[in-house]
Amino acid sequence: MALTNFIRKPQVKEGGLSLIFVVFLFFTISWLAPESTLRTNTIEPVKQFYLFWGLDQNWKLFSPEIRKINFHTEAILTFADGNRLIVEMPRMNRLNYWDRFRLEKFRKWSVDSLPWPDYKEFWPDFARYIGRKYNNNNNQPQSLSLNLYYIEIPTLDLNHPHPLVPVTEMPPHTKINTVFFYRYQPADFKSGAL
Amino acid sequence: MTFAALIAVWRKFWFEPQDASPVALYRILYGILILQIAVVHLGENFSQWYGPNAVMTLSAVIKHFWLNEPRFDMLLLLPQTEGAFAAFHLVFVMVAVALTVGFCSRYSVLFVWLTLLSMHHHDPFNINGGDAFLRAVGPWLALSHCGDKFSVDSLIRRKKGLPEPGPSAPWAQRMIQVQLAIVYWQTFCCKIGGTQWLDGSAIYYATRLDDMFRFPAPIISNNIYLLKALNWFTLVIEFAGWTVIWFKESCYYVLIGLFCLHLGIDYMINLPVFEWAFIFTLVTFIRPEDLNYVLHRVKKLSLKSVRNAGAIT
Repeated sequence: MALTNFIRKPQVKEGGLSLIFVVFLFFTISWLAPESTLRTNTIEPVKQFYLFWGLDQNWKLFSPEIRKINFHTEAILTFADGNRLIVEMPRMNRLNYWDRFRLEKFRKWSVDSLPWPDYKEFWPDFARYIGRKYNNNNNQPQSLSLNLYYIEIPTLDLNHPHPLVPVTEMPPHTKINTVFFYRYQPADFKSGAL
Repeated sequence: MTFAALIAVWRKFWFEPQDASPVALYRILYGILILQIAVVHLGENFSQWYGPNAVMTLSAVIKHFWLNEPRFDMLLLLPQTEGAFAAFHLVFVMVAVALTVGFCSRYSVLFVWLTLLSMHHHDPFNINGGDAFLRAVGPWLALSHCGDKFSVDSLIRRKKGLPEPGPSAPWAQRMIQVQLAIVYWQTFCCKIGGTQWLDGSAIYYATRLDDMFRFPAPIISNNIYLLKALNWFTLVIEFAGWTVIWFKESCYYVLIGLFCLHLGIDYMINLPVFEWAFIFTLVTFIRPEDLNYVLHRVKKLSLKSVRNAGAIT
């Protein structure tokens, strides 16, 4: 009872909350600081707590550099009879305004994650997901290749009389890189296959 | 300045009672964004992202993203069936509606935040900065007095004859403001750490990312002088977003600048949720007396137009 009354005192309440704010802001700002040994050591005591409760954050929005390539990804399924199926991830510039808006999560995933090495551990999952989706028991998929089609954005040349290339004249994605190849096993086509 | 004066400033900032109108309005706007995510962006694809037959398997997420460490994820508690995930999605939508209208406000925000947290841990690869920001401010909104006004909760209180809650310590609302300032601080520091923002070419490249095109604005995107001006404007206003925004005299100018920045990006670049998550949070910086004055004027004008419409018919 005495403890409850003590905590309810405005000065104690404000003092306690102030301590929480200071600690939280200290660790959050440390979390956002540039990579260094000091940063690593500072956040170590709270790292698991922050990750568990999703308090980790990163706001490098459009920075430090904006990418200088345009690209899209395609998966090519090859079936037992030799036929191929191209599975194109939603390409925002080919969709109407509503679908671009609606399919934002597909854009984020297929552009910022799917074709890049950070996602490589999940490529087999992706292959099995696509395999199950387009499976035909009479003509099963045999393999999948994940291809990245890309092109560099023309460089801004401030010394040139026409320094920029208009948005409507961006070059098509003519370069190709196969980032992943997967050969299917019969077990891959079962629902919930891991 | 004395130490006592510093403490007085600190106490005034976090604890001086204030009307809950800004944070209550923010609750509504936050709820609208959550509904947009739940209904439009997830919609019929909820199970495809999070269900038992999702694009990514849970075992791979636990091994490669969680690194076999514990993470909060309510979705693990569900039976691993399509039906259970569909039902959970429906509950999420219903609670988002409750949050927006202010029914059991704090609990609604808490549930929504825990759901966002679970979804972001279950599949971290489909969220943009706007989703992450909504997650970051969620706990502070849940701890705020967001249900004191413009809510079903306040209607119920009135119906029961209970007194209206008076001004309260705004520390949770302040934490939402601080969180927004932290965003501008880090993004500004990262921008000046690169080369594109300093040589003025950043907006040129940003407007040429073809996966993010929204509405065309050739007057801007094909004009090198305007592109450069916007580049510098972005840096200046993002710097102001964590510095002079805290001063009474300059706060509203910064808010207008940030509003224009985000609205401009939203027009040209297709990043749903992202820009509006920041635009809506600017509301928490509006002084309660100013907000109440504007809302009073809007109410008066709408009543007048309804009366006029009635007179015509």
